[in-house]
Amino acid sequence: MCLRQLAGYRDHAAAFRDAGFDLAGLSVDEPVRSDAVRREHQLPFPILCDTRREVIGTWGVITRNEKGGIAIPATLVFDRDRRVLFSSLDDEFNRVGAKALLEYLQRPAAGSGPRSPRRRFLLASPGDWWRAIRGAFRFGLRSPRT
Amino acid sequence: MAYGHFPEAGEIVADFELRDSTGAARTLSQLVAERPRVLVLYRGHW
Repeated sequence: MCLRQLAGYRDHAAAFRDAGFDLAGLSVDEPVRSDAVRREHQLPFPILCDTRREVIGTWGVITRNEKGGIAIPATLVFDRDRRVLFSSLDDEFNRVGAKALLEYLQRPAAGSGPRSPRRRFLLASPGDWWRAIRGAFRFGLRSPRT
Repeated sequence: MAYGHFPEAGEIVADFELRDSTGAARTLSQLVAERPRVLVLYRGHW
């Protein structure tokens, strides 16, 4: 099980709400199983069940070597028009933590509320910003100086 | 779309409908109708 990711979002759920963002999870689990996970970890947000792998197939985030394929960890933030504000395809060493994403979304310019008429302008930079952060993490991991 | 395409910043994603953990149908457009939303894809209970 790899649910630390979700627990992080649970722990920061109120802060995300305050920042103007709702949360949701998505996996290939059946509703019954997802419901158990949601209860066990007290997740205050909906869990979507892509049991037929429709969405993760379309998005190309499906593993090929596990039962029927499961979701590759990834994070997306959508605005109210389904436009992607932030996109991260995670790997073993670079997984977006809830806290890092929250801090990113909390930047004054990143809000998408009614007082942000120029939000489209914001879309050019999130990828670059995140690549820079990832690069810093990678550099840190590969440079274990004592 | 043989290998799929992961949405990048700036793209508008096609709407979809999935059941949630209660069995209720949820569409992406409904999920973001009121406020922006973070969607976390996770490996699940394996």
